[in-house]
Amino acid sequence: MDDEIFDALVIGGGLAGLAAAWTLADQGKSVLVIEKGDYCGAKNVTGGRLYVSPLLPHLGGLLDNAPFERSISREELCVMSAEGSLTLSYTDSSLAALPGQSYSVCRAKLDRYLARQAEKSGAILATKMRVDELIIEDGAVVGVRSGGEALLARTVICCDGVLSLFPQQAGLRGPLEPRHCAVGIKEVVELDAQLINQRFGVSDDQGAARLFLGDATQGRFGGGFLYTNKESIGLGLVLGIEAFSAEGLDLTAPELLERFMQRPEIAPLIAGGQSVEYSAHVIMEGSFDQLSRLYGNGVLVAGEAAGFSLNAGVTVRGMEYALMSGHLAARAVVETCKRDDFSAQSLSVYQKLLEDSFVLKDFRSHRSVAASLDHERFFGFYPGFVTGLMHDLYRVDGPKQPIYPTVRKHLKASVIKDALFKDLGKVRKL
Amino acid sequence: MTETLNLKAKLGLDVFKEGGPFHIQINAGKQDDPRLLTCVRLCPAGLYSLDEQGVISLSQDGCLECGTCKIICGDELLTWAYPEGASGVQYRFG
Ligand SMILES: Cc1cc2nc3c(=O)[nH]c(=O)nc-3n(C[C@H](O)[C@H](O)[C@H](O)COP(=O)(O)OP(=O)(O)OC[C@H]3O[C@@H](n4cnc5c(N)ncnc54)[C@H](O)[C@@H]3O)c2cc1C
Ligand code: SF4
Repeated sequence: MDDEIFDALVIGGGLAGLAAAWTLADQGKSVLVIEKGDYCGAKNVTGGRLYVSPLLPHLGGLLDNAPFERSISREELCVMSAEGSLTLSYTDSSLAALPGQSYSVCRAKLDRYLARQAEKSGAILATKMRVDELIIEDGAVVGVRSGGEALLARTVICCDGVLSLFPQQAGLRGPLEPRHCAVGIKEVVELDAQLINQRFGVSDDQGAARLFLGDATQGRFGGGFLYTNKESIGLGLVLGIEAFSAEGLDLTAPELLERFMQRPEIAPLIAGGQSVEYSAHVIMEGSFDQLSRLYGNGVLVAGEAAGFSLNAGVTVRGMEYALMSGHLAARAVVETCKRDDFSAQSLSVYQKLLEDSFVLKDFRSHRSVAASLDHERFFGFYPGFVTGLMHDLYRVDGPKQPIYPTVRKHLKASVIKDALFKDLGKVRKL
Repeated sequence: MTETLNLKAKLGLDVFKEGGPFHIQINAGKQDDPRLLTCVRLCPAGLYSLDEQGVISLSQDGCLECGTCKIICGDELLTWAYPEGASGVQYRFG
C-alpha cells in the first residue's frame, strides 16, 4: 500500500463509498476504501427503506443479489394525538409485485455485502482504520493521513457521512447547524417471521413501512418509523434538534423512544419480541440550499457528506442518493483519469452528472419544502384535529349528528381554515 | 409486551470495543454553558448529566458516536472526534 498512488481514495465504506469503489474497480481503476469500523456497516444506522428502482439501471450489477430484507408492499401512516390515532394503510398490485420498488434493509448486512462485491471487482478495502485528516498541497487534496501514515491518490472522494468533517477541512462547506439536523434513535426487536406476517398482513417476502406523525414526537418536528425486516422490526424516532432544544420539555430522547414503544399502537406489534440493538445517528434535514460544494481540486464529495438526504419529518431518504452520488463521483473520476487532469474544473463533470440524474433533480424540486412547513401546525395541530374529528364521528353516547355537520363543526372550530388549503398545497409537493 | 428496558440495559445490547482515549471532551471552562443542557436531553446514550451545582459532566461508557452533541455544541464547547479505528460501537443490525 506504501508507495502506490491510487486513482481514487475513498473515505468511508458506507453506501456512497462502496458504490464509488465498486464502480471504479469495475472500470479498472485502482481504488482504496478506508473505513473505521471493524467491518463495513459497523458504524451505520438507517430506518430503513431503500428505493431500488431508480438505482437498478446504474447499479444493477452491484445490487441484483443484495441481501435486502422485505419488499415494502404495505404503506402506512399513523397520525397520533395523546389520546388516539388514525392509521391509513395502503397497498396495491404494483406495490405487492416482486421484485419490489423498495426494500427494508439492515446496514450491517447490506454494507458488508457491498464491500465484498467491491473487493471482488478489485477495490482494496482497509477496515479498522480511521482517516485523521486530508493532505492538502498547493490548494489541492493529494491524499489522507491515517494513523501516522500518508496515503496518496489522484482524487479523494469524501464519503464520510452526515458529520462531513472532511468536506469542512477541504473548505467545501461550513459547520452544520442544529436547525438543519435531527437525531434518529432506533431499536431493533427480533420477532418470529410468521408473527410479523400475521401482524402486518404480509407474506414472507413482503413487508410494511409505517410512519408516525404527531404525538410520537410530542407535536414537534420529527416523526416515528417502523419497518419490518425478515425476522425483526426496526423502529424509532427522528427528532429535530432545534425543535427539541427549546425549554419546557421534560422527557429525554431515550424516554421519548420508550414512551413511543409503549403506545397501544406499537406495543402489540412488538409483543413477545426481543430487543437486540439500540442505535442512534444524526440525520441532515437536507435541502438544495444546504448542499456542500461538490468538488474541489483533487476532491469530490458524495452521499450524506455532501448533504444528500431529505428529511421531511415523517420520511427520510438518503440511501439511494448516497449510492447514486457515489456511483457518479466514480464516473467523474474515470472521466478525469482519461484527461489526466484532477483540477476542480476537470472534476466539475461530477456536478453535470448529478444534474442529469434523479439526485439533483429531486433536490431542486424539493427545495426547502420541509423548511416551509409550519412545524407547529403539521406536527402538533393537525394530528390533534384529525383524531378529534374521528373521536366525534365514532363516539356514540346520545343523539348523533350526521357526518357532514360534525366535519363542519370541526373545521369551524379550527382557526386555520385558510391555512389548511395552503398547507395541503405544500404537502402535495413533499 | 416487550419487557421495558432501561437505558443501561439497552446500551448493554450493543457491542462496544475498547481502544484509545475517549473521543469527546467538554472544553475547559465551558461546563456550565446552557447549550450542554440540550445534550442532557438529547444524547441518546444519556451520557451528559447535570449535578446540583449546575455543572454538566460527560461519562464515557456507551457513546453511540451519533454526533448529536457535536451538532448542538459546535467546536467552541466540545472537542469531538470519532474514536480510533476498530474501537467504539460496532452495530450488528444498523
Ligand atoms: C434513524 C435513521 C433513519 C433513516 N431512514 C432512512 C430511510 O428509511 N431511507 C433512506 O433512504 N435513508 C434513511 N436514512 C438516511 C440514510 O441512512 C443516510 O442518508 C445514509 O446512510 C447515508 O449514506 P452515506 O454512505 O452517505 O453515509 P454513511 O452510511 O454514514 O457512511 C459513512 C461511512 O464513513 C465512515 N467514516 C466516517 N468518517 C471516517 C473516518 N474518519 N475514517 C474512516 N471511515 C470514516 C463511517 O464509519 C461510515 O461507514 C436514515 C437515517 C437514520 C439515522
Ligand atoms: S456522540 Fe451521541 S451518544 Fe456520543 S455523547 Fe454525543 S450525543 Fe451522546
